Amino acid sequence: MTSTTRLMMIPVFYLLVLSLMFVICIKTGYSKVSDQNALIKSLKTQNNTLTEKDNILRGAQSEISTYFKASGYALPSTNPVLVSLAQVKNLASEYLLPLEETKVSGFEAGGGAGSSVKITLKTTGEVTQILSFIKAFSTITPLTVVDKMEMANLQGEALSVSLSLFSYWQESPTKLPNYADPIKKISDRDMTALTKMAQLEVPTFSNLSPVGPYERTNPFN
Amino acid sequence: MAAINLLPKKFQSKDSLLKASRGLKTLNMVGTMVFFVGVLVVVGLIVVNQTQIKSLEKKNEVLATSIKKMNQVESQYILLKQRAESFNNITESQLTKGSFDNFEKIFIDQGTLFFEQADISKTKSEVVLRAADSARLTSLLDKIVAQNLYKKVVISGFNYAPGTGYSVSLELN
Repeated sequence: MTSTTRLMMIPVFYLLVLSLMFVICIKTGYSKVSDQNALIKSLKTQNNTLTEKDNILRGAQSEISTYFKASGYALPSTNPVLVSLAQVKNLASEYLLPLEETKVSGFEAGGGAGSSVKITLKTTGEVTQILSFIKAFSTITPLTVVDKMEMANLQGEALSVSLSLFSYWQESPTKLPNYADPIKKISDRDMTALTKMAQLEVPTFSNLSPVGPYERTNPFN
Repeated sequence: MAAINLLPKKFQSKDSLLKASRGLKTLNMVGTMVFFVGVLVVVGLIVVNQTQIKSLEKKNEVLATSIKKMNQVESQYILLKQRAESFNNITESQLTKGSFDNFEKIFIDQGTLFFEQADISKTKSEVVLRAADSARLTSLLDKIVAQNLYKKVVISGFNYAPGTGYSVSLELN
């Protein structure tokens, strides 16, 4: 090996080793920092979601206490057909309309508008009386809407009316979403709906107090 | 004074090679410094990022615990939201109170007009009316036009019988 070769070999070798180390370090460092940045981004997104969710839930406690019960009357979590029938009968008696035929049919489950049960009824009365009766359905709970009305003339001012109603309920969610999933905020439109639900007329329930067992007297004494 | 070099000529390095060797050494030195500075920067960045990750993970953990504690509130909130959305969907698609209001505005207080039949559904209303004279019918049609409550009004039937008077069938959309 000549002195010239030796003179150049050491710095060239050093430069090659340095370049190799530089490439390895840059590659490893870049990959590590990129992974960390991706993780930070995802953690920040999660943090924002969780902070928003936490704030919403903390702030919603007053809304829940105000509207939860009322919304439960408007859209109960189970089929409200018996309560709906009672409400229909109450309204009919309020507007002095005789209920001639009441039928319950067709349960429709699910969908964005909750589940529903169909109630059909027939009655007779004057047109103003009937219209007031129909309009009153928008003021009662469970949420009951008139789907169809057919009126036919009987005699004089009396009309025979067939009504088709839908009474709705909303099943409770069976599973909570993952804690890290974002929560859908109650919008102003939803708030208006909740306020309307709170204004609806609640059915009156009577509680029968339990009657204790009485001592049975022996009739042969 | 001239430089004295006692080495035989064949062992002497060329000037250009000496310069190149010196240049390489300088480059290596600068490269080494850049390499160490670079490594320091990368390591620093990794340490800073790691601290940030730990801090964010801790914050998220605290928030997660707080949210999990409020799971009853969350379930009620979700149900409340569902109920509000359902209420909006139902009331938007229903046969509205307005349909009956329109019907009332036009057909009630019409004196001697009698209902033969009326079918009201979401899409359209069909009404069959009876009137003793044609003036009553004219006044009703004038009222329908003046109130402008329906997009389309079709007179689907018109009959006259001497005993009962006029009978008119209307389709209101």
